[in-house]
Amino acid sequence: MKGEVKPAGWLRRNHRALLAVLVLLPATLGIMFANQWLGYFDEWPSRPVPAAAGETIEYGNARWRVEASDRVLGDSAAGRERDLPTGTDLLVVTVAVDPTGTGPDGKPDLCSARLEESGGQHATRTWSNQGPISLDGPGPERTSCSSKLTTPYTFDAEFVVPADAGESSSLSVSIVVVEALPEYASLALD
Amino acid sequence: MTASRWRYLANGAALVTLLSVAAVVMHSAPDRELQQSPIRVAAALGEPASGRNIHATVHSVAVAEAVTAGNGWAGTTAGVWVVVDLSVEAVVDDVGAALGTAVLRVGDTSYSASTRPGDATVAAVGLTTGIALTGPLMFELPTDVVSSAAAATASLELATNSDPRVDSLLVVPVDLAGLDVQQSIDVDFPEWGVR
Repeated sequence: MKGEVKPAGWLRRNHRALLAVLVLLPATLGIMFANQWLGYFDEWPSRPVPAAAGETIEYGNARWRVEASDRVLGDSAAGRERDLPTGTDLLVVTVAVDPTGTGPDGKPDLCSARLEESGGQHATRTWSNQGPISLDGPGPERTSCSSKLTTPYTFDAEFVVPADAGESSSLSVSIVVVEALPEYASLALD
Repeated sequence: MTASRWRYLANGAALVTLLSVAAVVMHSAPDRELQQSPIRVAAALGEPASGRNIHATVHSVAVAEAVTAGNGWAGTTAGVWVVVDLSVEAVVDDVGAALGTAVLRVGDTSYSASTRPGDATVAAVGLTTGIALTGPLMFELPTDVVSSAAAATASLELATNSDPRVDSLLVVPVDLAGLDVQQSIDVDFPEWGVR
């Protein structure tokens, strides 16, 4: 019949609501996932503050620098004195710390140090300072950060590594201060 | 039949189809247990095997009535000892990397590595990255288990966590039934480094 208007279809009548669902549903899910992921990355050292070999950087409540790194070969006299396992070396990294402030507890930062190897033939590998292998002989006087010293000092981090560690790869020491997470200082070695 | 009636029928059919598909998906999708199950890595006696953060080689397996550990501990048992000699190391990271799972599975029964010998075994010992720890694991089993039919298809399971879900689990088949029961075995103290 002339002039009769055909009723609009369901999709046409509800297109605004459908459009809102199409936009809001992914946005809601995105915000939920983003929150979870950001929380996850905030809990562990996931954001490096890099420093070239010998460079001083500000991190947490101190300035940090690798003062020296010394490799004790397992089959050397010094290596035998420390009773290094066959096929391993000892990497001693001297870190200079200059406290510039205190944490929420009013004390200078405590820290943990790890050795990281990247590149080369292996996947990224890491070692703990003072790992599970017990060594003989005289060790360093201070092996980690001090919560008492407010003046500049050094500590010697010791890492027992396979003899091929750092052979065709780069090594760095990661310094983690819990209060500064997720940032961590990544100090490159020579 | 009017057009609106056809539309109702089509809507009903679409709803039934949707519910049927949902039912199939629900009943065929992996359940939580399967989603979180360990990632099993098949290994073989004498051959190195690697998972995400564990690399191990099982060198030998023996069965004995008595065992003397590297720290002098002498183990007596009402059953028998299954003594496994292996090398194990972490691959990428030593944080929390201990040999937390060391289980001998015979049929439906699993036996955890004994901690009675103290530090003379590699059970639950912290591992380090890329440096092998070689030493024994000792399992205390009832005598009749090692001569049972299931003993021929036993398996040794190794992982760097006491809860190996969603992580690598090395599985080494072991034929316990084919091994002679020795009177006594002396084993070495665990040792780091290349053997």
